[in-house]
Amino acid sequence: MTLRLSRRWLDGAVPPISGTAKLISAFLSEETVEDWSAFTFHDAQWALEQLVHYAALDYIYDDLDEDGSPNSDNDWHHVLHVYEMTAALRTMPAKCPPDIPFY
Amino acid sequence: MGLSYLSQDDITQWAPWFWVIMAYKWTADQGKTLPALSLAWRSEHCDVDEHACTLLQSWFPQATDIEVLDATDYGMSLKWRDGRINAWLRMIRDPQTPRDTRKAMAQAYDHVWRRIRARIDAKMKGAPWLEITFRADTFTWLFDVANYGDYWDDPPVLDFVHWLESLEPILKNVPEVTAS
Repeated sequence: MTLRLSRRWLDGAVPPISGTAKLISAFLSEETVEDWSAFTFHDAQWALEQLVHYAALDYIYDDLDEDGSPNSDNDWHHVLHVYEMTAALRTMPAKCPPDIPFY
Repeated sequence: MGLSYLSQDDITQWAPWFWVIMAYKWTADQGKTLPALSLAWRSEHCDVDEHACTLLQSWFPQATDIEVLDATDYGMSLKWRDGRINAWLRMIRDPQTPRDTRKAMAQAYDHVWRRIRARIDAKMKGAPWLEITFRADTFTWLFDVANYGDYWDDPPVLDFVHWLESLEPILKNVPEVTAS
């Protein structure tokens, strides 16, 4: 699997973006869903799992240190990058791995 | 593009939105027609109960008098009537309807009702999920879920559409009734 993916990257083929990533991107961009075939039911379940279940709410207030730099001990930090990453997905699909890298 | 940090409020609002997305997606997958779903989660609270009403109309366009009795993100109580079944029932009781027709309709009604009853008994496990009351010539369907079960994995609005899906083939047996 890894080798195949590597070849795809080297060949410059655009890796597929998962339905989950597309849905999260649409959600964070506050889009309107009209095409219900763009993602699967599992994509929606998995998106919720990714966005809500995995993260611990307790950590959210500690994302920045006092000097304003990111708190590297915060498990939330990577999740808080979601918006930027999914926005990037929309503009640079070729640079994103097949599965959305949240953490 | 800079980072866009999310507040705790944002994140606690995600789950109801995704429950609604799942319920819509499930419904769309069963071939139902749905209106577009705006995901304006930063500016709008997700009214799960309002979406439940929309979903109900997708499954049962004949549902009337839809009323939200109680609603939170984690539970809801919806009431509605089914004009087709009520018309059917009125005809069964109407002395103007030919006797044989009334008898056949009553038998069909009994069959439908037993299947619904079986669904309720099988699914409810003692919890007030779906209640059907019958007064005069009117059924009222009451779906009531309040903090029942694990709503993270089994959100009420998804239970609701699963219920509607299971009722649909049963209610399909109800013939169209026209007043004569």
